[in-house]
Amino acid sequence: MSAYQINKLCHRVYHDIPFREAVKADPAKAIADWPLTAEERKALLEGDVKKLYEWGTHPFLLAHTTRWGLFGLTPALYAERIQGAKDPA
Amino acid sequence: MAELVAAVGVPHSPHYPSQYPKDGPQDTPRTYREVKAHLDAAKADAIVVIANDHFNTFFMNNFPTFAIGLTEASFGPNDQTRMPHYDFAVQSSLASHLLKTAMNEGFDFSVTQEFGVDHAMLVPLHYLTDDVKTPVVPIWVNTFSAPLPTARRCHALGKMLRGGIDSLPQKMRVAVLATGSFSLEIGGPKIDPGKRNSVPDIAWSKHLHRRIGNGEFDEIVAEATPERMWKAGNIGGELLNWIVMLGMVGKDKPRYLADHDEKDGHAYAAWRWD
Repeated sequence: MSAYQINKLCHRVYHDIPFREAVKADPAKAIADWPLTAEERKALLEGDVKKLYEWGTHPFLLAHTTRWGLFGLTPALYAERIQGAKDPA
Repeated sequence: MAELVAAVGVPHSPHYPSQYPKDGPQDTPRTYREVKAHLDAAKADAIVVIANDHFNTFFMNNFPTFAIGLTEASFGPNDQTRMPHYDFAVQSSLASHLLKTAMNEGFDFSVTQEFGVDHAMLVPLHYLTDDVKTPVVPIWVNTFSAPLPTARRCHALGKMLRGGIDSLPQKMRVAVLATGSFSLEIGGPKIDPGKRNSVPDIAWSKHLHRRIGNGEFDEIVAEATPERMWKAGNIGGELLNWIVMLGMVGKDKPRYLADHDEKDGHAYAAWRWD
Protein backbone atom coordinates (compact mmCIF):
# COMPACT_ATOMS: atom_id res chain seq x y z
CA MET A 1 0.00 0.00 0.00
CA SER A 2 1.27 3.47 -0.82
CA ALA A 3 0.66 6.09 1.82
CA TYR A 4 1.14 8.89 -0.68
CA GLN A 5 -2.45 10.16 -0.58
CA ILE A 6 -2.47 10.09 3.23
CA ASN A 7 0.81 12.01 3.28
CA LYS A 8 -0.66 14.47 0.81
CA LEU A 9 -3.74 14.92 2.96
CA CYS A 10 -1.69 15.52 6.14
CA HIS A 11 0.47 18.00 4.22
CA ARG A 12 -2.62 19.79 2.97
CA VAL A 13 -4.20 20.18 6.43
CA TYR A 14 -1.03 21.95 7.50
CA HIS A 15 -0.78 24.39 4.61
CA ASP A 16 -4.42 24.87 3.54
CA ILE A 17 -6.28 26.44 6.45
CA PRO A 18 -9.84 26.29 4.95
CA PHE A 19 -9.29 22.56 4.27
CA ARG A 20 -8.05 22.12 7.84
CA GLU A 21 -11.20 23.83 9.15
CA ALA A 22 -13.37 21.57 6.98
CA VAL A 23 -11.61 18.46 8.34
CA LYS A 24 -12.11 19.75 11.86
CA ALA A 25 -15.83 20.42 11.28
CA ASP A 26 -16.78 17.24 9.41
CA PRO A 27 -13.87 14.87 8.70
CA ALA A 28 -15.83 12.26 6.72
CA LYS A 29 -17.31 14.91 4.44
CA ALA A 30 -14.01 16.80 4.01
CA ILE A 31 -12.12 13.71 2.82
CA ALA A 32 -15.01 12.16 0.87
CA ASP A 33 -13.52 13.07 -2.52
CA TRP A 34 -9.96 11.95 -1.73
CA PRO A 35 -8.76 8.85 -3.63
CA LEU A 36 -8.26 6.66 -0.56
CA THR A 37 -9.02 2.96 -0.15
CA ALA A 38 -11.85 2.05 2.21
CA GLU A 39 -9.25 0.77 4.67
CA GLU A 40 -7.23 4.00 4.52
CA ARG A 41 -10.35 6.13 4.96
CA LYS A 42 -11.43 4.09 7.98
CA ALA A 43 -8.00 4.29 9.63
CA LEU A 44 -7.86 8.05 9.12
CA LEU A 45 -11.36 8.69 10.45
CA GLU A 46 -10.65 6.49 13.47
CA GLY A 47 -7.31 8.24 14.10
CA ASP A 48 -5.54 4.88 13.90
CA VAL A 49 -2.04 6.35 13.73
CA LYS A 50 -0.32 3.01 14.32
CA LYS A 51 -1.76 1.61 11.10
CA LEU A 52 -1.17 4.84 9.19
CA TYR A 53 2.47 4.89 10.33
CA GLU A 54 3.02 1.24 9.44
CA TRP A 55 1.66 1.89 5.95
CA GLY A 56 4.34 4.54 5.46
CA THR A 57 2.78 7.84 6.47
CA HIS A 58 5.63 10.20 7.31
CA PRO A 59 5.53 10.71 11.12
CA PHE A 60 6.26 14.44 10.85
CA LEU A 61 3.20 14.87 8.63
CA LEU A 62 1.06 12.46 10.65
CA ALA A 63 1.82 14.33 13.89
CA HIS A 64 0.43 17.55 12.36
CA THR A 65 -3.05 16.12 13.08
CA THR A 66 -2.60 16.59 16.84
CA ARG A 67 -2.01 20.34 16.50
CA TRP A 68 -5.73 20.84 15.89
CA GLY A 69 -7.19 17.64 17.33
CA LEU A 70 -8.04 16.32 13.86
CA PHE A 71 -9.62 12.85 13.65
CA GLY A 72 -10.02 12.99 17.44
CA LEU A 73 -6.25 12.97 17.97
CA THR A 74 -4.85 14.75 21.01
CA PRO A 75 -1.08 14.58 21.57
CA ALA A 76 -1.66 12.20 24.51
CA LEU A 77 -3.89 9.87 22.49
CA TYR A 78 -1.50 9.97 19.52
CA ALA A 79 1.50 9.12 21.74
CA GLU A 80 -0.43 6.23 23.29
CA ARG A 81 -1.56 4.78 19.95
CA ILE A 82 1.79 5.06 18.16
CA GLN A 83 3.57 2.95 20.82
CA GLY A 84 4.80 -0.34 19.42
CA ALA A 85 4.22 0.65 15.78
CA LYS A 86 6.60 -1.12 13.43
CA ASP A 87 8.72 0.87 10.99
CA PRO A 88 7.47 0.52 7.41
CA ALA A 89 9.61 -1.72 5.22
CA MET B 1 39.58 34.52 -4.83
CA ALA B 2 36.68 33.85 -2.57
CA GLU B 3 37.54 32.26 0.75
CA LEU B 4 35.75 30.32 3.47
CA VAL B 5 36.11 32.45 6.60
CA ALA B 6 33.77 30.71 9.05
CA ALA B 7 31.66 27.60 9.59
CA VAL B 8 28.95 27.38 12.22
CA GLY B 9 26.65 24.55 13.30
CA VAL B 10 23.52 25.08 15.41
CA PRO B 11 20.03 23.59 15.99
CA HIS B 12 16.84 24.98 14.41
CA SER B 13 13.98 24.04 16.78
CA PRO B 14 10.91 25.92 15.52
CA HIS B 15 9.61 26.81 18.99
CA TYR B 16 12.78 28.70 19.98
CA PRO B 17 11.97 32.16 18.52
CA SER B 18 8.59 32.37 20.28
CA GLN B 19 10.08 31.05 23.50
CA TYR B 20 13.50 32.75 23.67
CA PRO B 21 14.10 36.37 22.62
CA LYS B 22 17.40 36.84 20.77
CA ASP B 23 18.77 38.86 23.68
CA GLY B 24 17.20 36.64 26.36
CA PRO B 25 19.14 35.38 29.41
CA GLN B 26 18.36 31.67 28.85
CA ASP B 27 21.01 29.15 27.73
CA THR B 28 19.55 28.82 24.22
CA PRO B 29 19.79 32.48 23.08
CA ARG B 30 23.01 32.92 25.05
CA THR B 31 24.62 30.03 23.17
CA TYR B 32 23.36 31.29 19.80
CA ARG B 33 24.99 34.63 20.71
CA GLU B 34 28.33 32.90 21.37
CA VAL B 35 28.19 31.48 17.85
CA LYS B 36 26.99 34.80 16.41
CA ALA B 37 30.06 36.56 17.84
CA HIS B 38 32.26 34.28 15.71
CA LEU B 39 30.13 34.76 12.62
CA ASP B 40 30.14 38.54 13.12
CA ALA B 41 33.92 38.59 13.57
CA ALA B 42 34.38 36.70 10.29
CA LYS B 43 32.63 39.56 8.39
CA ALA B 44 31.11 37.25 5.80
CA ASP B 45 29.76 38.68 2.52
CA ALA B 46 27.60 35.59 1.98
CA ILE B 47 26.33 32.65 4.03
CA VAL B 48 25.87 29.22 2.47
CA VAL B 49 23.12 27.52 4.49
CA ILE B 50 22.99 23.71 4.60
CA ALA B 51 19.64 22.49 5.89
CA ASN B 52 16.80 20.06 5.25
CA ASP B 53 13.33 20.99 4.12
CA HIS B 54 10.40 19.65 6.19
CA PHE B 55 7.90 19.36 3.30
CA ASN B 56 7.44 23.12 3.15
CA THR B 57 9.53 24.20 0.15
CA PHE B 58 9.22 20.77 -1.48
CA PHE B 59 6.84 17.83 -1.13
CA MET B 60 6.84 14.12 -1.98
CA ASN B 61 5.52 14.85 -5.47
CA ASN B 62 9.06 16.08 -6.23
CA PHE B 63 11.48 15.79 -3.35
CA PRO B 64 15.14 16.52 -4.12
CA THR B 65 18.09 14.72 -2.54
CA PHE B 66 20.26 17.83 -3.02
CA ALA B 67 18.85 21.19 -4.13
CA ILE B 68 20.16 24.73 -4.50
CA GLY B 69 18.25 28.01 -4.65
CA LEU B 70 19.22 30.14 -7.61
CA THR B 71 17.43 33.49 -7.63
CA GLU B 72 17.88 37.06 -6.37
CA ALA B 73 15.57 37.09 -3.36
CA SER B 74 13.65 34.77 -1.07
CA PHE B 75 11.56 34.89 2.08
CA GLY B 76 10.34 32.89 5.03
CA PRO B 77 9.41 31.21 7.17
CA ASN B 78 6.94 29.50 4.84
CA ASP B 79 5.73 27.02 7.48
CA GLN B 80 3.77 29.13 9.99
CA THR B 81 6.65 29.13 12.49
CA ARG B 82 5.94 31.77 15.12
CA MET B 83 8.80 34.18 14.39
CA PRO B 84 9.41 37.37 12.37
CA HIS B 85 8.97 37.24 8.60
CA TYR B 86 12.17 37.91 6.66
CA ASP B 87 12.73 38.91 3.06
CA PHE B 88 16.36 38.26 2.22
CA ALA B 89 18.79 38.39 -0.70
CA VAL B 90 20.28 35.32 -2.36
CA GLN B 91 23.95 35.57 -3.41
CA SER B 92 23.18 34.45 -6.95
CA SER B 93 26.69 34.67 -8.43
CA LEU B 94 28.01 32.34 -5.71
CA ALA B 95 24.96 30.07 -6.05
CA SER B 96 25.43 29.90 -9.81
CA HIS B 97 29.16 29.13 -9.49
CA LEU B 98 28.52 26.41 -6.89
CA LEU B 99 25.89 24.84 -9.14
CA LYS B 100 28.26 24.77 -12.14
CA THR B 101 31.05 23.37 -9.98
CA ALA B 102 28.71 20.70 -8.62
CA MET B 103 27.58 19.61 -12.08
CA ASN B 104 31.17 19.44 -13.31
CA GLU B 105 32.14 17.35 -10.30
CA GLY B 106 29.25 14.89 -10.67
CA PHE B 107 26.83 16.24 -8.05
CA ASP B 108 23.57 16.67 -9.93
CA PHE B 109 21.70 19.30 -7.94
CA SER B 110 18.02 20.07 -8.33
CA VAL B 111 17.53 23.78 -8.87
CA THR B 112 14.71 26.02 -7.67
CA GLN B 113 14.36 29.57 -8.94
CA GLU B 114 11.31 30.55 -6.87
CA PHE B 115 10.92 29.45 -3.28
CA GLY B 116 10.41 30.30 0.37
CA VAL B 117 12.37 28.60 3.13
CA ASP B 118 11.19 27.00 6.36
CA HIS B 119 12.27 27.19 10.00
CA ALA B 120 15.35 25.04 9.39
CA MET B 121 17.06 27.96 7.63
CA LEU B 122 15.36 30.91 9.27
CA VAL B 123 15.54 30.00 12.96
CA PRO B 124 19.37 29.90 12.79
CA LEU B 125 19.53 33.02 10.58
CA HIS B 126 17.19 34.82 13.01
CA TYR B 127 19.57 34.19 15.92
CA LEU B 128 22.91 34.38 14.11
CA THR B 129 22.51 37.43 11.86
CA ASP B 130 21.18 40.96 12.11
CA ASP B 131 17.85 40.60 10.31
CA VAL B 132 19.31 38.39 7.56
CA LYS B 133 21.01 41.34 5.83
CA THR B 134 23.85 39.12 4.60
CA PRO B 135 22.98 37.38 1.30
CA VAL B 136 22.39 33.66 1.53
CA VAL B 137 22.91 30.61 -0.70
CA PRO B 138 20.32 27.99 0.31
CA ILE B 139 21.31 24.34 -0.12
CA TRP B 140 18.89 21.59 0.89
CA VAL B 141 19.85 18.03 1.77
CA ASN B 142 17.24 15.32 2.12
CA THR B 143 17.88 14.23 5.70
CA PHE B 144 14.17 13.72 6.28
CA SER B 145 12.47 11.26 3.96
CA ALA B 146 14.16 7.86 3.49
CA PRO B 147 16.17 6.78 1.63
CA LEU B 148 18.66 9.47 2.59
CA PRO B 149 21.96 10.17 0.83
CA THR B 150 24.89 8.46 2.55
CA ALA B 151 27.16 10.22 5.02
CA ARG B 152 30.06 9.54 2.63
CA ARG B 153 28.24 11.29 -0.22
CA CYS B 154 27.33 14.25 2.00
CA HIS B 155 30.93 14.59 3.15
CA ALA B 156 32.13 14.51 -0.47
CA LEU B 157 29.49 17.13 -1.33
CA GLY B 158 30.99 19.39 1.34
CA LYS B 159 34.51 18.96 -0.04
CA MET B 160 33.22 19.79 -3.52
CA LEU B 161 31.43 22.93 -2.21
CA ARG B 162 34.64 24.04 -0.51
CA GLY B 163 36.42 23.70 -3.87
CA GLY B 164 33.63 25.74 -5.44
CA ILE B 165 34.10 28.56 -2.94
CA ASP B 166 37.88 28.49 -3.38
CA SER B 167 37.55 28.72 -7.18
CA LEU B 168 35.06 31.63 -7.33
CA PRO B 169 36.99 34.32 -9.24
CA GLN B 170 35.50 37.27 -7.38
CA LYS B 171 36.66 38.41 -3.96
CA MET B 172 34.15 37.24 -1.40
CA ARG B 173 34.23 36.22 2.26
CA VAL B 174 31.97 33.19 2.61
CA ALA B 175 30.60 31.51 5.73
CA VAL B 176 28.76 28.20 5.94
CA LEU B 177 25.93 27.50 8.37
CA ALA B 178 24.74 23.92 8.91
CA THR B 179 21.85 23.05 11.15
CA GLY B 180 20.13 20.05 12.68
CA SER B 181 19.57 17.71 15.59
CA PHE B 182 21.60 14.57 16.28
CA SER B 183 18.85 12.76 18.19
CA LEU B 184 15.19 13.60 17.77
CA GLU B 185 11.97 11.67 17.16
CA ILE B 186 8.81 13.44 16.02
CA GLY B 187 5.51 11.59 15.72
CA GLY B 188 7.07 8.10 15.61
CA PRO B 189 6.91 5.16 18.03
CA LYS B 190 9.88 6.45 20.07
CA ILE B 191 8.08 9.62 21.27
CA ASP B 192 7.53 10.23 25.00
CA PRO B 193 4.07 9.63 26.53
CA GLY B 194 1.81 12.67 26.13
CA LYS B 195 4.30 14.47 23.84
CA ARG B 196 4.84 14.92 20.09
CA ASN B 197 8.57 14.18 20.30
CA SER B 198 11.48 12.78 22.28
CA VAL B 199 15.29 12.69 22.32
CA PRO B 200 15.80 8.91 22.09
CA ASP B 201 19.61 8.70 22.09
CA ILE B 202 21.43 11.33 24.12
CA ALA B 203 24.50 9.04 24.28
CA TRP B 204 24.85 9.27 20.48
CA SER B 205 24.64 13.08 20.49
CA LYS B 206 27.22 13.19 23.29
CA HIS B 207 29.48 10.89 21.30
CA LEU B 208 29.16 13.08 18.17
CA HIS B 209 29.80 16.19 20.26
CA ARG B 210 33.07 14.68 21.53
CA ARG B 211 34.09 13.62 18.01
CA ILE B 212 33.43 17.15 16.67
CA GLY B 213 35.52 18.64 19.47
CA ASN B 214 38.39 16.27 18.64
CA GLY B 215 38.20 16.90 14.89
CA GLU B 216 37.32 13.23 14.27
CA PHE B 217 35.19 13.88 11.20
CA ASP B 218 36.15 10.79 9.15
CA GLU B 219 35.10 8.69 12.14
CA ILE B 220 31.69 10.42 12.19
CA VAL B 221 31.25 9.72 8.47
CA ALA B 222 32.09 6.04 9.03
CA GLU B 223 29.73 5.70 11.98
CA ALA B 224 26.72 7.60 10.57
CA THR B 225 25.01 4.69 8.82
CA PRO B 226 21.27 4.98 8.05
CA GLU B 227 20.55 2.43 10.81
CA ARG B 228 22.65 4.29 13.40
CA MET B 229 21.05 7.65 12.64
CA TRP B 230 17.53 6.14 12.64
CA LYS B 231 18.21 4.61 16.07
CA ALA B 232 18.72 8.19 17.28
CA GLY B 233 15.24 9.11 16.04
CA ASN B 234 13.41 9.72 12.79
CA ILE B 235 14.95 13.23 12.61
CA GLY B 236 18.45 11.91 13.45
CA GLY B 237 19.43 12.15 9.78
CA GLU B 238 19.86 15.89 10.24
CA LEU B 239 23.42 15.01 11.22
CA LEU B 240 23.99 14.87 7.44
CA ASN B 241 23.69 18.67 7.22
CA TRP B 242 26.59 18.89 9.68
CA ILE B 243 28.54 16.28 7.73
CA VAL B 244 28.30 18.41 4.55
CA MET B 245 29.75 21.31 6.55
CA LEU B 246 32.50 19.11 8.02
CA GLY B 247 33.48 18.25 4.44
CA MET B 248 33.88 21.99 3.84
CA VAL B 249 35.80 22.49 7.10
CA GLY B 250 38.50 19.89 6.35
CA LYS B 251 40.41 18.75 9.44
CA ASP B 252 40.36 21.70 11.82
CA LYS B 253 38.89 21.49 15.29
CA PRO B 254 36.19 24.05 16.12
CA ARG B 255 37.31 27.28 17.74
CA TYR B 256 34.11 27.28 19.79
CA LEU B 257 32.07 24.29 20.96
CA ALA B 258 29.34 24.80 23.54
CA ASP B 259 29.08 22.24 26.32
CA HIS B 260 26.97 19.25 25.35
CA ASP B 261 23.27 20.03 25.82
CA GLU B 262 22.19 17.16 28.06
CA LYS B 263 18.48 17.83 27.59
CA ASP B 264 18.04 18.16 23.82
CA GLY B 265 21.41 16.82 22.66
CA HIS B 266 21.99 19.93 20.57
CA ALA B 267 25.42 21.08 19.42
CA TYR B 268 26.62 24.63 18.80
CA ALA B 269 30.02 25.00 17.13
CA ALA B 270 32.06 27.59 15.24
CA TRP B 271 35.18 27.47 13.08
CA ARG B 272 37.06 30.52 11.82
CA TRP B 273 39.89 31.12 9.40
CA ASP B 274 40.50 34.85 9.59
